[in-house]
Amino acid sequence: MDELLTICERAVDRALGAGADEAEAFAVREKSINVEVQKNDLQIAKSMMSDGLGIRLFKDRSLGFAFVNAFDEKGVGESIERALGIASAAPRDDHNGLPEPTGVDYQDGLFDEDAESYGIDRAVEQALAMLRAARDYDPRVTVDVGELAGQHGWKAIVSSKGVRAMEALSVFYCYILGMAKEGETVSSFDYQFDGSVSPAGFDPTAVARKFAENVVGSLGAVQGESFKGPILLAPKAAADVVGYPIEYSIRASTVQKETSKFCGKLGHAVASDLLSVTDDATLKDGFSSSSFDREGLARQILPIVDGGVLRNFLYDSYTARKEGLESTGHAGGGAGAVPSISTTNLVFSPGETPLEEIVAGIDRGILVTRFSGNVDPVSGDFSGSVKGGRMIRGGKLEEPLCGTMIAGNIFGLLPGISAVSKERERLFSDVLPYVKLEDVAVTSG
Amino acid sequence: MRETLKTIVADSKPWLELRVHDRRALHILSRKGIMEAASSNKNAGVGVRVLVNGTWGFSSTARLDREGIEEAVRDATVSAEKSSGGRNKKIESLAECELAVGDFVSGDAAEAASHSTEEKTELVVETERATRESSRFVRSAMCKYSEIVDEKWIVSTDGADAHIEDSKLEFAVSAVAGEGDDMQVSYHGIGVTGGWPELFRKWTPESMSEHVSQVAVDLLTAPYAPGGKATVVMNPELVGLLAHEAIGHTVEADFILSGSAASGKIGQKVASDLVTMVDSGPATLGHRSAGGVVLVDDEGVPTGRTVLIGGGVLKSYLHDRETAARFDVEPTGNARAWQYSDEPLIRMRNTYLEPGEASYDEVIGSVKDGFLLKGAGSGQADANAEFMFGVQEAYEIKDGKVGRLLRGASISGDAFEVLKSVDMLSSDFEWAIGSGYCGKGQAAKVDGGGPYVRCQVVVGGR
Repeated sequence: MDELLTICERAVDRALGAGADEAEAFAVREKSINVEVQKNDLQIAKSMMSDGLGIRLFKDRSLGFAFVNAFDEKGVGESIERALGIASAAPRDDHNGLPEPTGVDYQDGLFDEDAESYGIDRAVEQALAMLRAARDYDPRVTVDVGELAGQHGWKAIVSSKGVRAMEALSVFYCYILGMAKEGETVSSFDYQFDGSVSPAGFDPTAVARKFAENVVGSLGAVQGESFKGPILLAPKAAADVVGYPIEYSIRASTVQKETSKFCGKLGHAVASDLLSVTDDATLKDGFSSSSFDREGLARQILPIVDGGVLRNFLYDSYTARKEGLESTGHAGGGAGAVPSISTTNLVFSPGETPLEEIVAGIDRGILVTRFSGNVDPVSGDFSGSVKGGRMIRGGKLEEPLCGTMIAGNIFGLLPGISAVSKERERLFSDVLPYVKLEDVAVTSG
Repeated sequence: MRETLKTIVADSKPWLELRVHDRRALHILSRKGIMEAASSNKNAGVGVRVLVNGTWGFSSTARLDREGIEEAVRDATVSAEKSSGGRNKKIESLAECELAVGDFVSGDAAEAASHSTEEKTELVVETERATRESSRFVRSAMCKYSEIVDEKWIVSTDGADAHIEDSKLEFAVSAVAGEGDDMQVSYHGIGVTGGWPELFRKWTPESMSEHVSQVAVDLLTAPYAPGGKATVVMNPELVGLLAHEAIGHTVEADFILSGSAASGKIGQKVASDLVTMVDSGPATLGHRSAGGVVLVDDEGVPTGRTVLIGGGVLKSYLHDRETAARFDVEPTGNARAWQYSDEPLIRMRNTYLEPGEASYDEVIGSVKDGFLLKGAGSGQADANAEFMFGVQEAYEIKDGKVGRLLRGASISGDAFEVLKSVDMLSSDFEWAIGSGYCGKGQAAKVDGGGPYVRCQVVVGGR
């Protein structure tokens, strides 16, 4: 697939020839197969082949960008013209520019050879196995939507500063989403996910069983109690309530714009010492693992919060240049947009307490399986409905809950985290444990 | 292009649909004096759908020559053949209807193109700067402008032969105000099917800038909203969001088949007598440039006005041709695909509550103790009609008078219960959520709105 590098090189040369001071071309070629399940039946099988070329250039320190989903000479030429047109209108910014190459340490295990021979037959077989496992668990289970997907492809980047990198990636995943119905009663929604680099590395039937167990378990929900006390966030709820505001606040772009609550907090405690979080672009089977970032710079494992203390922010070359630092290799995004800072795989370290023991230690509280509501990552205020919730009384999981809401400020609650479970779950790119928060307002009715 | 597609379709034995979609998009975003996005994108290709052995197959390619399209047809056919053994309920037929033939134009791509990239960029940069510099409390601001210009050709074996042109524009401004550790955000977006005169009809960049700055700063000193069930007046934006997210999705026929909250309720009373809720392809009320205008859907079905709830009674679901056949009704023109590489799904267009007869002042004046709720934050809704949305601005209403601003408010509950509690609607009408996107695996440009609506809802606060 060296062809992709050649396409990028030509695009960079043409952009420079057309008047750009600096130019970068990022090309992707992907093949994908998707089998979708809907309404308890197979819905559609799809195949797709797509190309994409994103051209970023600077002229007089002004940014221009264009994307085209074809590699033909005419399309690429027009894109360069459009990008130059934008650069001529965009304001000058002295921090604009492309980064110097860092050299890339290519990781193993990002591409599975079986990806290229993965066909519709296998995808259909796996999708049907997932559907059957959910339906066989309990007839009250309804699969709303589900998907089985296999994708593989190549990405390449070349810049006028000497960046030149290419790698192959494959990803296979499944997810299932739905509810249980008993007469007029509809349970909370639940979704489950699993994924891997290889077609044999994930288990669609286990995903389906877990989903079915959750939706059946949330039938017969009753209104709970209103109180202020401990709540136990399951990994999905923790991803929304804890993971998302942290993810937002650690980007150098939000820190520099002073919209991050972590401004000026590097080296300071921002959470209980039970919390440790790492951004790991090398995670095995990680949904966002890769050897180089959207600017072609080396990826790394970056400690974010260590024993409650904030250790690092995520930088791309632009934000790093502003502070006279090096990029941490966190430019993200695809070919269709200007690179922007993003996490790769956000991995929460496991705690030392088994989940069972955490539950046993709660006299009166709730388990929040999923959170449906509003989290403002700037202020940290959150409020929303508890989905698939369970009352915890006397250290035991009791009745399923409906009509229950939680509210609070996550940045105020992080220092009070009183337990982190040994058990963790993978949710797309993130890995999270159960997290226990104290003194949260729980409202029912 | 049309002739090539017609020739390929004419040779096909199984049902075949070809949808060529050429999209050009422009996105400009400035935040805190930094040009975060300035991109011009072109995405063109063909989406191919076949129906073989009662099973769908889909494929897409960016190759638009005859050979490329024929290869995609073969891929789609293989997908359908190989998956048909796994599909229990075969598609026996697609609902018959008069499919679109001819040219269909919405929006005003030429008007949008008459403004130079320089002019658009300057507008974004200046609006962001003005917002950021509007108050010493404003720490950060954002402004963005987007254009999506589409050209499509839809040709099928059963007679669709449509050429579609459309342009949709968006403009949004936000401000983050801060004092000490406290930070508050205000956002306002507008979106239309049209050109600049339509986009800036009601709100101008200046008025949006002033508005978000004022609200963000005022929120800094606003006390938290108290929680509990309350009488509220929702503005057209929240009404549109509720109609779309919490009710609209539950009447999408694919969700109905999965047992959503509206399943089996056609003909039943689901809302107050005063409630009539509509999803329309063209903008049948208010100004004609609603942000979700679709004249012909992506199966080639001409769109119209679909009454979902009439006088409080559930009247219709939203259909594509597959579900319409299964329910033995006419398709409603709700099959939409975001890009060429997406297959059509049942999606809403412009979803709204029809206005009532009271004046705005009468609605507010009728509330002894409650809240005026304006603007939607983020939120979610489930297929069981349970929803939770953040509210941008909540104001106390005491003895019929709007009072102080409150922060941190949200609303939640069962959307049908909320509609049952509706007891007053104002006579004015606004499209109000045209800057948003609906997400259902794929994105879709939608709009929604309504009048000011008095109802009962659980307000979340502190």
